[in-house]
Amino acid sequence: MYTVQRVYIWNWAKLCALFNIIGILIYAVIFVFIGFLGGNFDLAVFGHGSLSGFGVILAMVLLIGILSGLGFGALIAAIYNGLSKVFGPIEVEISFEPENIPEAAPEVNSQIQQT
Amino acid sequence: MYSLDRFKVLSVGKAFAIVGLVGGIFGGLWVFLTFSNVACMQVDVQPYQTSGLTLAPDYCSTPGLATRLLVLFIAWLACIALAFVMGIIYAALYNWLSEYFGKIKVRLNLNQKGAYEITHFQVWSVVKNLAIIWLIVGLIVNVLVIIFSINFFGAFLSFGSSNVFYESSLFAFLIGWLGSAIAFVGLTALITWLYNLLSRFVGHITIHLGVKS
Repeated sequence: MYTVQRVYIWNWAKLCALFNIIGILIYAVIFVFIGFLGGNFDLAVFGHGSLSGFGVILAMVLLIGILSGLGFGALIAAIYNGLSKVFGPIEVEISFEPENIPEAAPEVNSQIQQT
Repeated sequence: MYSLDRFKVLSVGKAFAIVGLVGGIFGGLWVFLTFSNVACMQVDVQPYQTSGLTLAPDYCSTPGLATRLLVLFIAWLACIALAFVMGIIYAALYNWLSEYFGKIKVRLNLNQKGAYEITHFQVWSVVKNLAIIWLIVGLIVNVLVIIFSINFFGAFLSFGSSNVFYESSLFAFLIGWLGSAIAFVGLTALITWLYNLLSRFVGHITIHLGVKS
């Protein structure tokens, strides 16, 4: 049984921020796409004033997403590192499974079978 | 390739509770800030309208600071408790079902600092396990949602016949259950695939593993 004693705070923070960025971009694409399908492309994009207005709002949302992702990821990792010492870490059984082992040649197999 | 054979159920519950603890602060703050609106929505205006009285605009009184703090605290505790229970359920279901459907497989890399980096998740092994778990958890959640909505909306909405009401509830249940499962599978596959693709640029999940006999 292995225990997850400590996680790297900065890595968690970066990953959370990364997935926030991806989520926001997907949401923005869907938002504009739905507006386009509904014939409200102008409203979806230019409803914010102009294309640059839409860009500014998207940039602001992205900035908030990055900062909140960094904060949330770091906070969770830091609290896990702190509290797992008190309440116990995650415990998991891990086993090694070799991969991509080349199959033995047919003549070797036949030799093994004969022996 | 390493396979995650079994999680100690209670340890996962505790880790989930930590996430609930952080998330609950934000959730509790949201409830704290919006509680006055919730209180207003619950006001029964019917007697005032039927009696011909005009509803004063300031009828909804904002709950006091102590009440809102109490709600904040209760919401926070509820988040922690819910996360703890969900962690236990997820871990127990994983331990049980992965025996039949295969374990989650990961590639681990020991770095120079003596920590392990999860460099790669086998996407199918993750998706398959989480999908099966979500089908079970989603079934329970959606049944509860439908029961709640039948009780809640059934008291207010008038349908042509009760059959229409229950058929539409069944339809909503199937859409909610299978739709959320499909969305969950898609999202999990996307996140796992993106992790494998992008974590090399921003850094892999890095953990210190200890051995417990």
